[in-house]
Amino acid sequence: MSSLITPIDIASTLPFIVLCLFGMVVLLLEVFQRQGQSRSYLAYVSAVGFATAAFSAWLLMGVEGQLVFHDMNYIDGFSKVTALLMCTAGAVTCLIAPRYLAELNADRGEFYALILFSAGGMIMMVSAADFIVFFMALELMSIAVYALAAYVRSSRVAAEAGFKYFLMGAFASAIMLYGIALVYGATGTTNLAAIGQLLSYGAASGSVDPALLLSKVSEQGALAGAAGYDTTTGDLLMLNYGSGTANMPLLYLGITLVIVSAVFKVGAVPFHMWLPDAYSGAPSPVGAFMASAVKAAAFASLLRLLALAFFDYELRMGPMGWVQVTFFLALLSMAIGNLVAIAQTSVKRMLAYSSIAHTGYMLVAITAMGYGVGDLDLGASVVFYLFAYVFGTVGAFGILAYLTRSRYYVERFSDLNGLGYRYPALGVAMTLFMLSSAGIPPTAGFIAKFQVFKAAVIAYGAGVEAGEPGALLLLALVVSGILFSVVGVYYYLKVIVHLYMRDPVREVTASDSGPARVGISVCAIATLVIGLFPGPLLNLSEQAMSQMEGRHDGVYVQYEDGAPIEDLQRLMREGSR
Amino acid sequence: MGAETIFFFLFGGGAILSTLGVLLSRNPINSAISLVVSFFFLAGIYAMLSAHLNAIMQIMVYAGAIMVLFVFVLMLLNFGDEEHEKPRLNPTQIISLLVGAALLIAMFSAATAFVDGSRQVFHPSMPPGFGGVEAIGHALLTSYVLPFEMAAVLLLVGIVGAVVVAKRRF
Amino acid sequence: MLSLPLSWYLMLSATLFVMGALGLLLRRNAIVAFMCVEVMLNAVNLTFIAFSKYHQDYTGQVFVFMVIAVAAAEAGIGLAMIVNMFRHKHSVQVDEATLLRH
Repeated sequence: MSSLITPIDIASTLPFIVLCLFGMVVLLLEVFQRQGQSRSYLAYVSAVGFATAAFSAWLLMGVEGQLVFHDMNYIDGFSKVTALLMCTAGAVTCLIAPRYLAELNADRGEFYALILFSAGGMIMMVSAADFIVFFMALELMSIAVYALAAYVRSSRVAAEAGFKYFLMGAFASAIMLYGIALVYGATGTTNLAAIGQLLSYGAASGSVDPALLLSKVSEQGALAGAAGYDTTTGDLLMLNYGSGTANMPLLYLGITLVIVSAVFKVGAVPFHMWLPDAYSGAPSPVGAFMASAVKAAAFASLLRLLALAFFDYELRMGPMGWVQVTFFLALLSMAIGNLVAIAQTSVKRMLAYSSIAHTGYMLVAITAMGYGVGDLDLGASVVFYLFAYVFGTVGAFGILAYLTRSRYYVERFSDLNGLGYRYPALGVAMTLFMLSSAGIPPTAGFIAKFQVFKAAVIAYGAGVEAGEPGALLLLALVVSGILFSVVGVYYYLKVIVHLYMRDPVREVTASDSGPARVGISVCAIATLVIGLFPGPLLNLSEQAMSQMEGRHDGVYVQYEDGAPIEDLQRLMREGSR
Repeated sequence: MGAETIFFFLFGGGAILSTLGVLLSRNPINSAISLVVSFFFLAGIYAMLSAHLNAIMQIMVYAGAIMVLFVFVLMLLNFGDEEHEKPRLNPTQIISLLVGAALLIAMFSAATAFVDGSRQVFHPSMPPGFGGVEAIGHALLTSYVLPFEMAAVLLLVGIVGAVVVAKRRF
Repeated sequence: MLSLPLSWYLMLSATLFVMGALGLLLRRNAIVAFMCVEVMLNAVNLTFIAFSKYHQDYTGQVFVFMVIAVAAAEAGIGLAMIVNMFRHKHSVQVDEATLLRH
């Protein structure tokens, strides 16, 4: 047995370790605080923690992508880029929080510690190479967020929303676990890349000698952990695989359950019932965190899951393939999200429904990614969209938090009346966030929407070329997406109209918070800069997808009597490039 | 009919009946006690499946710690018999019943197909010490050291979160 | 020793899982609904352990170990939330959550 933990293991999980360390430091600092002392410096401490974690992720960019921790975790471009995303969202959340918490008489250090731990969970979730790590990271993220949702104890709304969010989340986790158990049963492994390879090479034909294939896959290093205790019997891992269709129903059921619960977590229609209540019931900074970081982590890990484990052609395009599922979910999410958002009188609920609509747009890109021959590089548009979306959402929630005073929550549209003149900088920032969310140039949201729809059009082109069925539906998805974005412009502009063209109903005074100003400015500047110079970020997101380790490009090869091993090795090299 | 079959029906039937007790009893305390009973039956099944460590863990952690917490909270909140729950069926519930039935049918047919298509039963012989403390402990601290360490952070978050949410004043 | 088919164990766990899920969706008492989550997790554990023996592979049992740890943390948070909710509304019925509807 090789050594337990190697230096590269530690180095590659550095962002996670840094976040956990800072979380513990914040907890310790809190111990020495007196009642009534301001904790706003902890916001800066946590922001420094996020910056350090992001910096360590940045340093690791140069490291060659590989499996670490006994094949439990990946260090690769994808995990590092998404770690930057989580760290940004977490840092801004910490910055907008302190004054809001003080106003609600809930200024405690545990808030920042929970945000730090939760972000640590997210970082592990997007870099997981195995379902065990994936599940543990998911729970680490979720449990911290459950506590945060009910963090302001004086609020009955938050108590209620927190509990409902918790119950739905626990339900979704249990469903995902059951799905994982069935996939494990059908394939004999919980390693994501190994599942993907087994599905593809095993399912392509029953004629591949499983044991031979396994030994070859093992040489590549992907299956070393999955082989586990099989040394005594050798053939055990593949015993039930490759024999054809027997385990397929179980496998399909498992995959369906995993995907359903993942979709549940990203909040796509019709699994969205919990989302508006949770986002609007939680304290505004927590709402910002849930809408940005949690959703980004859920989407990024969904990308990883689909790209590694479930990218086999039959799984995507077969009669029960997930492309059909994401197609309908995308359509429904865009429609319901945008149409219901119009009817809202509360800005927070409007933002919640609009985040459902954003889920729909990103699912368009995921549908495009899985369509036809399958082009994982199209997933880059999702990564880019997440960056644009995170800045816009945290910023908008941040402004609501910034305006909230002890006795009064700023939630309704009418609360924003005339604020554009009283607080010019704030008005400009909010306008930017709304324009970005609506997808109007020159903001980040425009480029993001453009990328997503471009991905769908590219997939359409490739589908027509390959003669795939139903390529026209993809084009229909793009057209309806554009139409629904136009609908969306209405309620985003409504915010701007209230900011500048309505007379104030009541006095709303901003809580004059330094950290919050920093956080909101960062979001506003990023929204504008990404919109004007999208190049570097586009490169970064493309790099994230192209450097995703263990990704499985859906090679669908019909092997006849005994696969040529050289071919197999070449394909796997290409698959994990 | 071998001993294993008898034990399977004893433990399995017991688990299903006591779970029914969780779902159907009017008083939450009865639900909690039924749940403990079902945990014990399941521990029996785990032991049959050569998961001895997990069988012990099931009793110690689930029945011994988690359920004690449940009962403690039930006592703390003290709403014994006052529950008036009318089983009325709204559309959401009908849909969930249908989905549940569909999942059950799908699962049964998948399970049967799985076994028909390949090996019928478990391997007659297990590696020595399979499912024991030593083997699992070894696995946890070698291959699975990362999730094991993450469990530590997770439990810390659980403690901090529970205190934050339930403490009476800041 | 005669061995039972794997499918029996799978069917038992599926039954328990569906019972837990239905209980969660149909019961309105928060604590009982939360107990149903534990039932679901136990059904999952049974599946993992059955497959673990079937494959003679430790992954499933390690997974169960992790699920138990997660269940403990979840129980802590969940019960704290129930206590917190009870303080505000003196009831633990989840259906009464109409406050949030606008």
